[in-house]
Amino acid sequence: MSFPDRPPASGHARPWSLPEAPLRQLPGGPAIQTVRMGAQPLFLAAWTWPAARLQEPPAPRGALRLLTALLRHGTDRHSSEQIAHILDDRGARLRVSASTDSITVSVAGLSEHLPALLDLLDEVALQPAFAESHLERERSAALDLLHNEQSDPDHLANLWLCALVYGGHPYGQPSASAEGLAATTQADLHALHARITAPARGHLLVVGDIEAEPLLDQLCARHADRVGGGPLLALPGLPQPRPRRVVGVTRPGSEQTTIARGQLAIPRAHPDLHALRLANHALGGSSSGRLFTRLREELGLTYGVSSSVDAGLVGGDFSLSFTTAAARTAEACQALSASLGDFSTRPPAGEELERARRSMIGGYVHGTVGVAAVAGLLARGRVLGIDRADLAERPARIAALDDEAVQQAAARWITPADQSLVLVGVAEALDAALADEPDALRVDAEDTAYHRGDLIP
Amino acid sequence: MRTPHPPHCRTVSTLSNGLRVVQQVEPAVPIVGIALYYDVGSRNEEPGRSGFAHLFEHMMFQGSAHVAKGDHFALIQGWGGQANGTTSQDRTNYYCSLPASEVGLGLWLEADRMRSLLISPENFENQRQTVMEERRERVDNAPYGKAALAMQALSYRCWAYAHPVIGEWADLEEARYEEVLAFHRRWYRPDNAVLALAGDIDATATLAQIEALFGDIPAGGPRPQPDLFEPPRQGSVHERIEAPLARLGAVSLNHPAPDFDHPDFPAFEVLEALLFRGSSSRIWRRLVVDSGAAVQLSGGYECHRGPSAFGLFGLAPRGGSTDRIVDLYEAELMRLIEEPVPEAELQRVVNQLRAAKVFASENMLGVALSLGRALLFHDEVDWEERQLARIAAVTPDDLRRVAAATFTEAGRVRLDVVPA
Repeated sequence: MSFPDRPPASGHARPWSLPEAPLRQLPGGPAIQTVRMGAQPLFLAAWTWPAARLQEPPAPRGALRLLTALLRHGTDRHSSEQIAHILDDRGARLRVSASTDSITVSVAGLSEHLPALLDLLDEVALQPAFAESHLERERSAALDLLHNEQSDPDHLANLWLCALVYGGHPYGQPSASAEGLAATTQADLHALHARITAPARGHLLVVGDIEAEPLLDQLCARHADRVGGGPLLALPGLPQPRPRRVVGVTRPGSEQTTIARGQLAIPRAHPDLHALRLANHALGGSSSGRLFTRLREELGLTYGVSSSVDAGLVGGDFSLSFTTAAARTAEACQALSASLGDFSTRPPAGEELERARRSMIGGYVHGTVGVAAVAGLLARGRVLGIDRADLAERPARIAALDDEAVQQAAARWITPADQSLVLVGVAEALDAALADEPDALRVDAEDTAYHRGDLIP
Repeated sequence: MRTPHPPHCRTVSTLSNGLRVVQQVEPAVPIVGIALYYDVGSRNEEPGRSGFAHLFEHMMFQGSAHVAKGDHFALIQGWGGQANGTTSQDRTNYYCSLPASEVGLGLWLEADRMRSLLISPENFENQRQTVMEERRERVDNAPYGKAALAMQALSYRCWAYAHPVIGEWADLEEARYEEVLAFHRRWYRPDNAVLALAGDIDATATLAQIEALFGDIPAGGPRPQPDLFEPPRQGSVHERIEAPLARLGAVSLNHPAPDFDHPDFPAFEVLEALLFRGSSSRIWRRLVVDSGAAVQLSGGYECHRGPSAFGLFGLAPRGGSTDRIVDLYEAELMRLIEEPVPEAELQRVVNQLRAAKVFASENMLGVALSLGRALLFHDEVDWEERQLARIAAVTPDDLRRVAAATFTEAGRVRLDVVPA
């Protein structure tokens, strides 16, 4: 029998659906949601609140980073060590993650431990102690790690690019400065925690091998008295477009140059969002996109390159980054510019866009398999004002995007002439690559001026 | 506790050409994970050819008789799936996840490149450049990258494990296009491979498909085995390396440990969990939470199919000392020798490992990778479940005996990383 020259036909495809996710909004209190997914005897429970760093006082920043680190180090009832034992005795995992737009405290464990771990989750998320001794230890570690981050070229490139794209807007500001970390007090942490975790803005979600409705009843009764804070946040205004700027960060000894480009794009609620994401998928959103194909597979300039559309509550951006050998920096910058120029004059269409469309839909469906994936989708959706019905309809919405809509979104939001550029590498490489950029700002790797929103008008 | 993987869901088969196949049916998950392991890694390279196994892995995505360069990723991603390959000292694997309805596509892609790799000098040169960029990114431009390679070279005298998987610069430059096809002919044969699948598949129909796609690929000839002899360490080693790109001092320290098949393997897994797994683990609490002697650390059992090691890597705070990290670490090692580990702590380890197994069971690609590894390394598809039972049987006396035999001054290798 000869080997077939094409893949075997597809088998029977199972229709996709997002699990039912009953949600109750308690009067003046949190929203509570439970989802049954019983394939494995495990669950994930999470408290999420919107706009975490958006509620941190302006510079100097650092309180949220410390708050995030300290939640696991003690509550009104349990010490750091006791919390660690409660978790590890059950093989459970506690995670705290915070961003500009949200903070999530979650615990994942075997369903036989659900009651004990839900108790612990409430304690950690709602009754942190912020003990002075742990504050000092975490402050010291955070300062050391901040110092260490300055040695990471990708991190530096990202800090500078955010500052160029967003300026003084909270989305453009690093999560911490040495001054902010040093100045944060225990009282600051309690005040920030109270502000962020206002009951009326909270979302408690439990997904997994549970009985959804009885658990929902139980959780609603448990949190019925948790009221206050008001459902609406005072959010900062939209970030304003800024002129293109170029920064070269000298990092002596670098074998490679990190190249990052980006521009302001759109917030989550913008009607162009899915079309822009689809355009980006064809450009640099996957290893079959144009950037990967051209810069890696044809030119051998890099190990990997990707672009992304980041859309938050009040703003968003398009950005890309990759690294290349120091000696090939100028060549890589030119090749990148040529690829982006080509994308503008020859936007994706037809079969290329259809492949990207199928890939994006398939990737979305693929990403909803499993308890943690569904929990993450629902929690993020809640923060960004997207309900379950919206999430369930997303594949159909992407499928319905026509080529023209995608091309128009790309033309509006991926505009190379507006993209700021950051290079991090040795001076000789930057000199060669920036020879045609007389207005480029040159700084060294120690420079922390990216903290200053007004640095680059 | 419910068992996530009842053994009856698994089937194991061997085709007439020697390809071993394991399938695990998981009807609840509409995804299939496919992992194809080849029994070749950097340990099979020859001196002067370091990095070739990994460079070859890149060539496997450059096209085959019916798949154009770049189409492997495009076809998988067209269904929203993921695909990649990795190379270690002990094996090379290729994997993908797809909607379960597309299992045929994943198998066809693997079969096509097992039987008919299609390469050109241009593609080879392109991937050599790509691998050089990968090395720069992961090693030469990373603050602690060169230190990691230096520690590997210090830890093993057996060349098979002492040299870097990514390859030495001179060897990458010397790699020749003509060697690629010979490498494929020697190592990428069905009798040197294990194919693992997990997901919502029909095991009988899928096996028939595998037979049709792979069954007529000829087996290979004899393959040379690597020299794995590791002379015992005769005295401690302590070296320093300057790291101009680093900001914080760091230290790596390890002791020799046995390979996968050694009867003490479960005891070492327990030691790893006890010392490093979870926020209550001994080293994490003592070095990071309680004393602040380290601001970041990682560690555990670096186990291979040959010489292995057990150790840690820690970043010291500004103004701190790597000596303090080492002193506290070694005090914890001594405690293992001097005091029996309480039963409750042992039970915690078992609970952690059992729970981790349940968490991992949702990910079909992860399940396929575990099954492939179990069959290739241990010739036993239920190895992980049996390993859990073996771990549960480890006693405090086992741990004291193993710790006393392993954590000796003579076996210690230490590398201090000094920022410029």
